[in-house]
Amino acid sequence: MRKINLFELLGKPVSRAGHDSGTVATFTRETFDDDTLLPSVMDYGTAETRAAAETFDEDDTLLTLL
Amino acid sequence: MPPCPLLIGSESDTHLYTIAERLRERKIEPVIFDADSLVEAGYSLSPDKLVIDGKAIDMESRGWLRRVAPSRWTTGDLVGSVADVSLRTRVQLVAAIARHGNRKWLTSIDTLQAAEDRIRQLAIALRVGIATPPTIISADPLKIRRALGNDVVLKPLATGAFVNSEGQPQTVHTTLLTNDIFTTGDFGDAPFIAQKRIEVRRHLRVVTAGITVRTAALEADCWPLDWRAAEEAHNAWVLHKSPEVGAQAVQLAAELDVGFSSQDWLVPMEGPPMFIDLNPAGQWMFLPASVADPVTDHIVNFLSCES
Repeated sequence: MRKINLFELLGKPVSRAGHDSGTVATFTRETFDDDTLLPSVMDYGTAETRAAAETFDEDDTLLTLL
Repeated sequence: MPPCPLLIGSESDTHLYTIAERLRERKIEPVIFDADSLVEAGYSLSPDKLVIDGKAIDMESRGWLRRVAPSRWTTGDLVGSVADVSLRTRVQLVAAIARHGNRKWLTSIDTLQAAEDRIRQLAIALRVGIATPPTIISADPLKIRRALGNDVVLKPLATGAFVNSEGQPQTVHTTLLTNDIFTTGDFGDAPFIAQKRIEVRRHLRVVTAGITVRTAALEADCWPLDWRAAEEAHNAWVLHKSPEVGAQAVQLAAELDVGFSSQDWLVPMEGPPMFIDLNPAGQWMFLPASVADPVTDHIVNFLSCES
């Protein structure tokens, strides 16, 4: 049986408008706030583009952070 | 007049806007920017000089890191795209600015990032004698049940905000580990924190800024397991006097070396109050003024070089 990623399994839709514009509604309430220092960067994916060759490798220790 | 403080974030954020206005009331004009607004403001940075929007920034100024970049749900930027790599480069620049010179930050960027580690928070809490719920992160749900029993809650290790395959913004609240989730969930792909479910009498939000500490309480029986799921719950918090919890919260913030923290605690039906998690960049302005204002005052005083 295919196992389902917990985000897919437990995620609930966000109905509040305006959130995706960035900051207007996001940080006034707890509900949908990422609450982290780097919400936008944390959200970014991981090393899908990583290649074996040094030329194309990411040098960052924390690819998705700083 | 103190040097102009640096505020990293956006004035569209209520918290940052309020602090900025309070500084202006004192005739102090803060320099405000984040990884996006820097583009329009213009910048130059060298080892000994920072210029933003044409203005040289004092090397001794104070600063507050609220948000490095705006939230980016639903932008659709692909990992590795030009937009993605550009943003990440700007974030690196903001980080370099946050480490630049001899500026004193409410919480420094590296301290702040380390303080967001929830397992580290719990380990420190346990070390200093603060009660916490039994906790585990495991790719194997069987190990979770063996460690915690059958009454378990799950929550994301970091952000719960994401965009699903249809492009819809989603969020994950604290959720009971049901048999269905146990059977169908992939616990390895995205690590979640599992904690033994506590019978809760009262939620506490404890906010610290230096040695200033205020606590608000929310009666648990009126609200869902995760109170954030109920919009009205945001308005139901009341000032709560709990010197013991306040002292422990200040101690925890000091251990993590953060100048500000927004902490979640629980008052169980039985036993001592329990620390749940600490957010070094969290929110406090939805709380009653008697809780929020002293914290706001502390931050404004810090940025004004009055504390």
